[in-house]
Amino acid sequence: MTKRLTQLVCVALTFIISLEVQAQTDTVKASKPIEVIGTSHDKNRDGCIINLPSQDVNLLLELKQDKYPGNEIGMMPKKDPGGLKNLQVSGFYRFYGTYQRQIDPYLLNAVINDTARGRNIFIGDDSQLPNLLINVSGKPSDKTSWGFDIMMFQFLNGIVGTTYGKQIPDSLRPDVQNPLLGTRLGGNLGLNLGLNLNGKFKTKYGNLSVNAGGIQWVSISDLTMASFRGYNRFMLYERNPWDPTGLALSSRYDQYFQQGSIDQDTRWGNRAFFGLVLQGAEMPGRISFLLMAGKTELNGGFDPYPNYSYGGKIKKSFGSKNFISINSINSRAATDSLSTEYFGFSVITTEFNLEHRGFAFKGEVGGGTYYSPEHNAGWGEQMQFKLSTPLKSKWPQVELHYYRISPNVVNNNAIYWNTSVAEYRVNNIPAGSIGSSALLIPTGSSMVRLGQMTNNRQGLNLNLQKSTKHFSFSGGLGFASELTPAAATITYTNPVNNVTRSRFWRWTFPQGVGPYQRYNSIYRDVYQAVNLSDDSSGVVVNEKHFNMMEAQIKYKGKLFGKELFVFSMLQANSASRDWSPITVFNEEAYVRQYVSEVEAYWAIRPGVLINTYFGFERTLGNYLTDINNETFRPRNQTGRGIGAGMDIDLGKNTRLYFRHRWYSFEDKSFELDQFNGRELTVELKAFF
Amino acid sequence: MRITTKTIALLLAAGLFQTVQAQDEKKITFTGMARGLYYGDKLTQDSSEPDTVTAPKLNSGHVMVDLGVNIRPNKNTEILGMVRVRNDYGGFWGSGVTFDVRQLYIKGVIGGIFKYQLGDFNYRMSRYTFWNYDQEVISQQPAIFRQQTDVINYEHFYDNDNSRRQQGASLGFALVFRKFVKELQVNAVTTRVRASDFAQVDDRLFSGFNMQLVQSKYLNLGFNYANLYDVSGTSKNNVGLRNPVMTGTVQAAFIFKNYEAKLDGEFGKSRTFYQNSTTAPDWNGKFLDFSLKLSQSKWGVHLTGNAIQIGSAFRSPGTQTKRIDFAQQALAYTRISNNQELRPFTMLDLMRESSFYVLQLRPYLMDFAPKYDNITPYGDATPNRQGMIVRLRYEKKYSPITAEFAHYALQEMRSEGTLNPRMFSRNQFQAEVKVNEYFKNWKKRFNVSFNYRSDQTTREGEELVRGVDLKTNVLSTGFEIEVLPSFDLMFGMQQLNYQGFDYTAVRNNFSEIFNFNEYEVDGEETMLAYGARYRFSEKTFISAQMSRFNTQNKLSTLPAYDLNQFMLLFQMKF
Repeated sequence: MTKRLTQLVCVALTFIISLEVQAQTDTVKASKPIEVIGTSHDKNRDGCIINLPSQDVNLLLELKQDKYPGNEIGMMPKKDPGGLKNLQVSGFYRFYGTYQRQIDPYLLNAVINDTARGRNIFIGDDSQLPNLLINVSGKPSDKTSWGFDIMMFQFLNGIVGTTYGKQIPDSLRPDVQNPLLGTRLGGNLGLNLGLNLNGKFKTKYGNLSVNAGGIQWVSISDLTMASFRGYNRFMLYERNPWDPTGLALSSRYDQYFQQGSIDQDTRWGNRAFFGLVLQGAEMPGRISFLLMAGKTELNGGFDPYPNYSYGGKIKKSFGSKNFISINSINSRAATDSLSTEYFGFSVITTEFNLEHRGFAFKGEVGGGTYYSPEHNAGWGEQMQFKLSTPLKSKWPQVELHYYRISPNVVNNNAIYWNTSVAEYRVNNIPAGSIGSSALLIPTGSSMVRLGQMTNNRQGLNLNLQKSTKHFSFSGGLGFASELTPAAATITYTNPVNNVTRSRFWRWTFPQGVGPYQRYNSIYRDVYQAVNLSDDSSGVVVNEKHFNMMEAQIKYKGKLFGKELFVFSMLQANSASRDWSPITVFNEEAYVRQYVSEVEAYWAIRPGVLINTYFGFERTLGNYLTDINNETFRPRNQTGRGIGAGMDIDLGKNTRLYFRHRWYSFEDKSFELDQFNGRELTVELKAFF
Repeated sequence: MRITTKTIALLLAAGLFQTVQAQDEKKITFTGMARGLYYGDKLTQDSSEPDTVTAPKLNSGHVMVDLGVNIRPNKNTEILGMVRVRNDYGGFWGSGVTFDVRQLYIKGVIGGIFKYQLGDFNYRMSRYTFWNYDQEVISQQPAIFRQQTDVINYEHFYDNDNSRRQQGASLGFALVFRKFVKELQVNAVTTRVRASDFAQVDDRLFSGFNMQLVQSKYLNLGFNYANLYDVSGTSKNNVGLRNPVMTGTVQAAFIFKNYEAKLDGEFGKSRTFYQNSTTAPDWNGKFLDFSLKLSQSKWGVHLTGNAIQIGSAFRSPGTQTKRIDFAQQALAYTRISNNQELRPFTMLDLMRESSFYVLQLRPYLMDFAPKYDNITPYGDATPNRQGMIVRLRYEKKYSPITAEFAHYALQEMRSEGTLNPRMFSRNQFQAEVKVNEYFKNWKKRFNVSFNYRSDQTTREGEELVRGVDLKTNVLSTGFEIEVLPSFDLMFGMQQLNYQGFDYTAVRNNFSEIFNFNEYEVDGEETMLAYGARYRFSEKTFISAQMSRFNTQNKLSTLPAYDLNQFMLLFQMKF
């Protein structure tokens, strides 16, 4: 019965429609027989009118049915939902390949007797550094936007299949004949910086903006949340993944000469944050604020238990550059699923900046505490002050920097390092993984760059800089002392060939490796630990004192009529038992290190620039440090690096960079700790 | 030289024309939604001994974008592919990221007449053939709770129009006449409910056909046909479901000055059987639903009397498939107490747990929760009901207040397990007031809502069968007040209490009752929330709210507990 009725209706309708369409075809010349009144894109009407000659059977065919709201039947919704106002796509492509030729076998891991291979070809950079990054952002309205990035990896590893699936377990890898089974979107495609939602709104009390999601790049102040920017004294030969291409081939080097710094991307000086950030500006009384709640990278991970950070700042501005602000950051994490115990830290500071006729006095003072089930030493003080003279005068600009950070203050989101408190480990995630706390164990008393601060230390730095048309000088010296005797360990890095050395251990960040198990690998860095023997029955009794000296000379000129840039830098650093105003150059120092680096960039023709590099370092320990059992001598290390390369302009925003390096390192006292070889890196980078 | 200039001018003009044309008809547009959602929960149990097993504090959240690309290759065709990119709270550097396809369809107009859609789409027919009824308890909440419910509804394509998400093809057109009849609308749909496994499971399709004759604004007649059926021969199984439903609808109106009388009715029948099965039942069910609405537009008074008779064998999967699968278990705090007992679902779970919700048609009567709704668990199409419903409504143009009182007096058509049918009684009152409209110069919004529902199910007992008496009361109220431009403070409260006894039917695979379980409850659930919201636009807002949920079940071994929740929601629709 049902079938029959349906058939009947269909036949009748088909007949009527065909009859009427035929009728209008016959009279097509009469008067505009078919009038289209809309399409599916017309919000008002859909369908067409068929005007027929017979007044009795004229038909209107119309698809829009919202004249009878509530009775609508069929495909829903009837109304067009609208769309985005704006969608933007930007990003970069970056190919990075490394070829290493290791002449002598170098013991990477003595425990498993793993040595560096003679030849090593590696395509790619790091697990967070993709080949292609596409930023997609949309604006639903003038006041709101969202954005995310898509990253893609390509390792040229010869796996040619239906998908790029190197990191997908074999059990989940789709079959070539059945690519819909198994994991398809995986290791080579993902989000790098995640997904953000942004909104801003104006009120009569000021402009507010809200950002949700992550990763967002946030900084509050040096002692609360920021990353170390230093005095912009570094070498450009080893390119960073985040380095831009620049408008012209030589603009990067020219800017470094002129301004003492180069453009960096948004993450420079900031910290990664996932959560909610609320900011207010142009508020009454020239007040602005920032509030945030969520996770820093140190809180990262998917455990549902409490593990978060929160903080912010409120700032009152005076004049054009003067301000005073109150800053705070707090981290809190449960040690167990029942949330019975917590560990974390709290920091609160006040910051100010006063400028008058080019003289600037800037400071930050506050306190902080670290607590865990194993540690609660209460609050401690932290402060830093900077006094600087005008930049544009006939005299060199001078900056005096004093800081003091109590051993009780621990804040891994600030620009200083923790060297005093053995932090609570919430998990056993291997070092280098998200959420891992393995790297937060104090690195001993670190020998750090000038300007870099650590807790349990106070110090004074003096910096000068002066530029002329062709020369620029930037340098400084500083000293710092521990507030209380800390671990009987000193750590330091080897600046020459340091990134090359970190590439010996790819995509893992092991600790206690190398021939004598004294190297620790971190992101683009390797540091080694020195054990001291001047303790008293295992108890450290001596405070350590540190001295830093840096001098950088930059030259810009012409050679055979072509642009030439020469940058050189000297470092002399020491760690010793007794205080000294300048670097200790004798065996009174536990460790002393001298580093000399020179690099040159010569634009030989439009679109081609050649570069060279030379680096030499010496690191010496005294007899209160590790002594080799065979030579009975302490560290006596020499590192050398010689490089040559080329920058090639491939068109707008596209560059090709070659870097070749001959590297060598030896410790005459510890014979196994030596390597030498060659490294070639090729980078092709294009922004869009 | 002249020619060259002319040629260039023409080329420029042509290029300009093309550009203008391209701007007029955008070939690609983007639609979708972006959302950031965070929950911070804290569980507190009212127990003499502290719970040393259950994690009391949990955090979760995500940020996601549904980015739909609308492609219009020509003016009569539109293709939409929507990708979901999601990043879970706590993920850094790409960990915790998922990509997926959310929906894909093509739609358009054939020959300027037939509108079609192929792929994913939402579809709706009449209330007894293909209709997606709201979920229990949480559908009439104050605005502050609706924010969470809206997230669930969006996730499951539950639109306000009660349409259902399907995958298949649909076609529609309308004929508009100049004489006698105004319009004839025709709609047809076929969707695939299940795919064959080529062994024992057949392909299962749903097909529907609707014809709506609009004679005038006074008379509207309709015919609906819906069928959920297995396609024989698509597997080795020769037993196949057939569930056709055929209904007729009528809407008639009589208008005289300020008086209006409207007759609205639907009637029809269904058959449920399994082809080639000797053990499966063959059910024929009928239903009748007529209402008469009398309105006085000047006074804003509307009185509706509704007579229903839904047969116990009436089965219409397109309308009786519930949104909530009560057989599921909550994922948050699944087990609590030192004994790690399973935690029964609550109305808070219904508001935020995606795992409870289903999208695809079910060929059987799904489980329901008598404590939440024992009278209309399958909406208007709940089988085995007959009786009267009376509604008195106040709604007037430009009036700031809307209020309605409804009374249900229903009973079972066929008693279950005894000779006595269950009797159902419901009293419901709801009101919404736009307080600011009472004041001439108060332009900012100030909405207050109130809702109260009282249900009772009774049945006389017999010698071996205990009497039934189950009561449910739901009270909810709330307000939203705009204190600064587009900035609202919100408050909401919902309290649910239930007490009494009933039997729940135990059904076999064919939905036949073969036993009963005793069902006794005595408890209450209370939700209290306050928060703030900033509206960037009608489609975009950010909201933060604190809520406290409390429940206790006096007959359960589980302790009473509180669940404090902080929620942050940033949502953009575009």
